[in-house]
Amino acid sequence: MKIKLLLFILIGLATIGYLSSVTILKDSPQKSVNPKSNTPTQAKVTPTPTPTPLQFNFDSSTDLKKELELINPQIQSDDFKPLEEIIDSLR
Amino acid sequence: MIRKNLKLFFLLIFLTFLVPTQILARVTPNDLYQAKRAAFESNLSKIPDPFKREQVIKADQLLNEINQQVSLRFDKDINRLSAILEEEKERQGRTDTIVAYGQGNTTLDSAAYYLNYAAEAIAYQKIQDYTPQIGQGSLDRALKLSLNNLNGNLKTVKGKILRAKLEVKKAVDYYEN
Repeated sequence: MKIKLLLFILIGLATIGYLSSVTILKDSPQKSVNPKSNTPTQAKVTPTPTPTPLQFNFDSSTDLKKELELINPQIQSDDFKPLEEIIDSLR
Repeated sequence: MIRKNLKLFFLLIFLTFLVPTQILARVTPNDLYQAKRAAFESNLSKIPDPFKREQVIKADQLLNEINQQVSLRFDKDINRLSAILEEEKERQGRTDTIVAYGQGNTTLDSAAYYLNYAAEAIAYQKIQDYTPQIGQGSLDRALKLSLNNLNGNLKTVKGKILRAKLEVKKAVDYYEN
């Protein structure tokens, strides 16, 4: 008798848990992975096509090799300076 | 006796399939992010010193700002690279653009592939979360960990842009010489 009651309670709890999880997921609003990034382009992780050149007007007379030399992706130490200062202040 | 055991057996099978389903159904990337934020907010309120609390809030915002700022700079580099490649393609009379899989047959195809690869890496980097995991250990160590994590990821993206640059350079050198 006790076992039957225990089984009944277990099944009941499992069913309630399952139904509530389904309802929560169904009703929850759609959020981006990182809500801090709020522009639509930032929320996309899907493959992007080759970026279209918007800001540059190159023509046949442009020295492409020279233009290429101007590209220098940088992570400057100044970028992290304010953060490092905060970390130092917490030591 | 056997009948009773059979019932228990079926019940166990029922529970085995039901319980993990509901647990797995709940965990999404957004749930993980929300949980991380909730833990951060909760641990933040436990910091007794208001100055330190303020500094941690600032640091959390800065981590996101630095990520966006550097990613934006990388975006500009990729746009310039893209413009150079487009110009080279135009000079060579090539109109096709996208190489989705594989690296292509020509230096132009290969450059387009690596440009896409770098652009995707930047897009992915922009949505990364660097919420400091405070609560365990010292505050400065938790912030330093997030900073190092961010710095490391940005360096990886930078490496991908440099690779794209190298491939574009190969294409330009091949056709311009």
